[in-house]
Amino acid sequence: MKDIVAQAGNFVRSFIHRFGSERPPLPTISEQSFDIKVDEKKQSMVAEAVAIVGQLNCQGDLSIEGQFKGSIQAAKYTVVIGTNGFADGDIAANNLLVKGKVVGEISVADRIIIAKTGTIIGNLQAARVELENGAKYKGVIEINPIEQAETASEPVSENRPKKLPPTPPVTGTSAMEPS
Amino acid sequence: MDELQISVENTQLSSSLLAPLFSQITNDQRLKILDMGMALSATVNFFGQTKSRLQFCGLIDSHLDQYNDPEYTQAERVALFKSSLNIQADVKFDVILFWDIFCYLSAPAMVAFLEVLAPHFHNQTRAHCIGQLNARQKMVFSEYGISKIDALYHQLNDSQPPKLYPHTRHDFAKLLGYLQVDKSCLLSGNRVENLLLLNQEL
Repeated sequence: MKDIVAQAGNFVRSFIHRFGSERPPLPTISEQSFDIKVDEKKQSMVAEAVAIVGQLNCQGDLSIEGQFKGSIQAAKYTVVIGTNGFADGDIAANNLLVKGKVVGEISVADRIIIAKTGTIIGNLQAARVELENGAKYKGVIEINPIEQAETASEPVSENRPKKLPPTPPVTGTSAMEPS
Repeated sequence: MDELQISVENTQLSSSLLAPLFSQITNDQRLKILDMGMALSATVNFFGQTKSRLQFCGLIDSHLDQYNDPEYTQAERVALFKSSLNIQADVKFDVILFWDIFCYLSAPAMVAFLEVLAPHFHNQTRAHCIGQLNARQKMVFSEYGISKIDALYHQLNDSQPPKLYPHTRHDFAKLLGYLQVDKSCLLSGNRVENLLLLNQEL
């Protein structure tokens, strides 16, 4: 009986040590440089040493630092694939930041950013798509910019197609234009 | 060599043929673009505010040599390109950005490549390609994008360069088949840019 109590005590101590207040906080990703807000209090995380197969239905923001295979449904939320993260499957999100690797079909309501360390292979739909210099992408991008009030359609001028910007903006933290 | 590489990294090339490439585009249509390279930030940002469908094939890399393998029959080569390009059957492109892919394709590979693409042209399809001006001079293996309506963006391609297959102007015109060169302009770095239109004689 004493052995059983001692074993139970050890188990509780080890549990508290691993998951209790002494445990260091989970790493969180600061996305300030990418102008994508992650609610760190409500975000879920697939940590670096974790591999999951299945379907994730998110009720908050999601960070993937480990490996995930399956579909991710986070239509109202932000999904971040960390530098060492890998997601193999379809992703639906409000915003998506890819620093690691994604293979699959992606549907993003607002904005997708592929960071300089990021790779995506697969088709994607988004209102806004931004690639940092060095990002790798192969597939089909459907860009559906959020409609703005416009006058009736006009023929394109000879020198510049309508709506195409004269100079691309620099995205992320690294400049892509030569000095 | 290092100095040369530094000088060609991440530069803009002034272009006179991008404006006519897009001149047939009207405001109300979804622009369909086919790009033979990997996506570059410059190109994606350029089309970022435009209702568009951009397909990036990622074809221009060291694996390009496989299409020139003389062991392949023409049918096998066509099948290989079809699989690599992975274009949806009913899509017809408004603009095709070949960049310098033709420089790295042998004559049979170029024929097979264009045979796969031909069903995806429509009457107003326009294309842009970059060629080697002088076959005896070196051309740096690059990745290209569109920086603005009068400038191309290019950076060094850090993968192993595929073998160059120089084509004479006459041969190139014949190999293009469904397409024809409408205008050509000199670019820096031993390059020439070409505006391609559909060959109306075929």
